Amino acid sequence: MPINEGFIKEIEQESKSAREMLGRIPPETFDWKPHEKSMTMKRLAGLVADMFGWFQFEIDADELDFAKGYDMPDPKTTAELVDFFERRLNDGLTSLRGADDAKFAERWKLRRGESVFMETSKLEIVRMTINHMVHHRGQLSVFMRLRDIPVPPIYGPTADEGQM
Amino acid sequence: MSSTATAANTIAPALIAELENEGKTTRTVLERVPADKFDWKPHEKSMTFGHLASHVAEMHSWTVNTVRDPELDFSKMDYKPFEPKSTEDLVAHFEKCYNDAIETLKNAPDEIWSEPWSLRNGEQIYFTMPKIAVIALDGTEPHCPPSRPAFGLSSRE
Repeated sequence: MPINEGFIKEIEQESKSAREMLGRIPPETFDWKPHEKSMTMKRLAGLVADMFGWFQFEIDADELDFAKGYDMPDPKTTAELVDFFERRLNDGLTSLRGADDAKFAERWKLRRGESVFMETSKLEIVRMTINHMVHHRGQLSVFMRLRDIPVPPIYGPTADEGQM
Repeated sequence: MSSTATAANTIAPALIAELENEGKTTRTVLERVPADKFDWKPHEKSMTFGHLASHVAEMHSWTVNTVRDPELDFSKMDYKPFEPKSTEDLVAHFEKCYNDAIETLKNAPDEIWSEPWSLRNGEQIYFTMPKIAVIALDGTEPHCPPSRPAFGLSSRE
């Protein structure tokens, strides 16, 4: 199986619960945060919605340079949040569909101008991004619980939903 | 990792490298969970801090079952969650599960990853997937507490 095919299946699978969760986040909770050091609900949900779009610059470019700026989404409604997720997912999957196995051996850098934070293979950065998204999706599930928004099943039942 | 490779063991080294990388963060987080907060939970429906930390500590042990067996059947299990008495207990349990996973992966030839693996409760089968897809689920940490330091790109926040 080509490398991209495995990733695409995994990403489509992981997208299901993310889509379900983002669709439940009401705008009146967007500015809330559970701790003064935490992200706001909007920032965290926007990050979760954005992350599968990162495959675009991980595959089609050889670096991400923060010195060139990076726009975070600013959704006003739940529908805008979900639309943003769908668009970014589509961006990422489009790039992955065009990647042959040789592409994943290429090098990729994370930098801010002269300062290079990380250099790795495209295979590793794609895997790391999936793990990273799963991490923030887990964090989002805690934010939802704290605001009494029912948490859908992710890998198994939650205290709100799902039977096994 | 090449799709044309037929040599015995090319997939496991990539999985081990990923597990080692993720393992560093998990270890650091678990070392910071104080025993006097094991009973705390942020919401009445939440797991306790101790239960969640134990779950994170033991998840790598699932790798052993995934590689060795064709299925996990809840109806045949006598599962007792690990109950740490101290932070040291918690970290020691993590180290054991983590090392078992690494040892298991070291001896896993490529051909096993296409074998099917099922999660079931007696007659009821929840899913059947190739072992490579199951291991990707084992490797993730879906329930990590928000206190886990985010890594990589989120370090800009």
